[in-house]
Amino acid sequence: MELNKRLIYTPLLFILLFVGGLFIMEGTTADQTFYFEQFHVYLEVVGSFCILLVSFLLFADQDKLDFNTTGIIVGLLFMGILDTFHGLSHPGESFVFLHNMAVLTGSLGFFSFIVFNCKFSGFVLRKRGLILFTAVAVLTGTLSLVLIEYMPTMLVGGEFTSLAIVMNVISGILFISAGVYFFILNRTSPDKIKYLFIITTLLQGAGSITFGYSELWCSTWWSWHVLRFLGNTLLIIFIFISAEERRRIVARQNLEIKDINTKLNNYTYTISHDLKEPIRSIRTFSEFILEDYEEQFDETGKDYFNRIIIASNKMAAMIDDLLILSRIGKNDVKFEKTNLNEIVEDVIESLEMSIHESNSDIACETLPTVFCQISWMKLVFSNFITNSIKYRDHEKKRNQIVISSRDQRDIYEIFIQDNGIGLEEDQFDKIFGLFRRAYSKNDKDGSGAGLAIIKDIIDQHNGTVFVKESEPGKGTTFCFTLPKGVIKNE
Amino acid sequence: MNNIVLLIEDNDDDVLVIERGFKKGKIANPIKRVVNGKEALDFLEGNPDVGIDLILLDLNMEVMNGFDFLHMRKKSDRISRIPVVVLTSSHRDEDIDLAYSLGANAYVEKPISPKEFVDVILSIEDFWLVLAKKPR
Repeated sequence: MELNKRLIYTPLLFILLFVGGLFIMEGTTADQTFYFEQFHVYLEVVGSFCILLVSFLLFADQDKLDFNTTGIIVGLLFMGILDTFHGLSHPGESFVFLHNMAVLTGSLGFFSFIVFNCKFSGFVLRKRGLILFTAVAVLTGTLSLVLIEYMPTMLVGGEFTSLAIVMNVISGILFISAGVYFFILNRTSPDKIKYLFIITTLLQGAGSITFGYSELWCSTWWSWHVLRFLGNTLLIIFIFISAEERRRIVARQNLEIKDINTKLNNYTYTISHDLKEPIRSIRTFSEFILEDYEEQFDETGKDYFNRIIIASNKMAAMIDDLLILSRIGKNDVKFEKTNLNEIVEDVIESLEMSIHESNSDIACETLPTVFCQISWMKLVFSNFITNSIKYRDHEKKRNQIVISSRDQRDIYEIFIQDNGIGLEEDQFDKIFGLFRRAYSKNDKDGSGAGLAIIKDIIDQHNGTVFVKESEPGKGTTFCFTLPKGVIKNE
Repeated sequence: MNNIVLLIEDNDDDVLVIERGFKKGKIANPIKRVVNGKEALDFLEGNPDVGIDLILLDLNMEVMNGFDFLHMRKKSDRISRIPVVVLTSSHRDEDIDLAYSLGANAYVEKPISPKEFVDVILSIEDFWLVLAKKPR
């Protein structure tokens, strides 16, 4: 909205400047030619720079627009390069010829856009094509300077020849037709970029047609220069439009991804919730049978029922973890500034029983204060510690766990080191998958989702988690990173 | 004659477990079971003279779920005086919040383990049927 308004006011401002400039020009005398020349170089070089820039940006963005830009890119490229040659050469025969070639190629480019858009809308200009056209344009510029005596005459006694005028009038007509075509396109699918091209082409067209009524350094001559300068520099607005467009696309995509995530999480919740019901029944009634009809079963029968109970417990645990996973990333938990030592203390307290029973010692060094979702961060440490206990090395007297940290440039690294059974290197990545275990499926209890949950939580905190080092028989060191500074609540 | 406990629950298995809990805890209050909020309202309106000590309410049910029942309950002076304990397998924070803000008197998650489930039923009985004073 804001940009739209600015788009309307900028041309008005330029037109005011232009009219003001014309009044000043009328008041000056002819022997200020030197300053005129300087000013002319400035106008042409700045204008050319603008259109060359826009030409390259269009090239980069051509797949994002809803019309074929090949003609425009090439037109702007030629016009920019030839205008640079024109601006930097001294007034004279090639000076005029270069200008005429610039407007003619530029207008042809814009006009061919109509053809491209109607007939070859799928055509995409490749890098090689762009380089080729650049080379041709530079060659045309150089040849116009070197071989000027073989070129048609443009200037006779300080006045433009009719050929020069005709070239400009043709350019003007081509520019204006392109502008009209943009106008028609803009009516069916309006956007700011088309609006911008309408203004540019009409200004260019007006400039080229005015050419015929001018001679060197007269006020009319300046007037069409200013018109063209306006057309060229206004194109720069394109940069802002495309940047805004890109931001809008990214924002929309983010929104879509979020939407899909929410839906998926809701599905996971519903599915796992509904799955839990029958499993609970299986377990419940198996236990009731064991309770009520114990004497009617022999040991094998009881063993079978126990297997049903264990299997259903395992499945219930897996579903619980799926539920947890589906809840990570919801925005209902706030990021708060917290000292990680406090979190670890809480976790150790809640795991006291199993820490004691497993002969585990936990040493925790001084940890940093970070922005995190406290309840989820507790789950991270709790899962790491439970994991270390679960995979402890029973041959060692004590199961030792050390939690430490390191201050890196813009992140903190947190290490969880144990002297457990360790991992083979080919397992380092796999263990973070859902329901994956490094060892056989039956070796341990638990669902096998502990590390997957950790990974998801750390992802939510814009960090990474990985196995720092591990060796079978020696132990494992896990590492996760957390960014320094504020994580915003959404 | 003891007042009844109204059980609003669509899962037959859970009804069995709850009944077992009542039997084990030697709870004298008879259970009247209905399968959704709509049936519960119909029962309450059709039997204005039946004394009800407690309503055990599941949340996820067809036709009329627990939340809608809590909503409708507010509109009747008589029904809103009967304590409601939500007994559900959902432990979603938003469900807990919503249940309380709709006037539930307690929110209890159904435990996975049947032993714990029975214990939960016994605790509910201890508090709501024995300890808590109920309106006449």
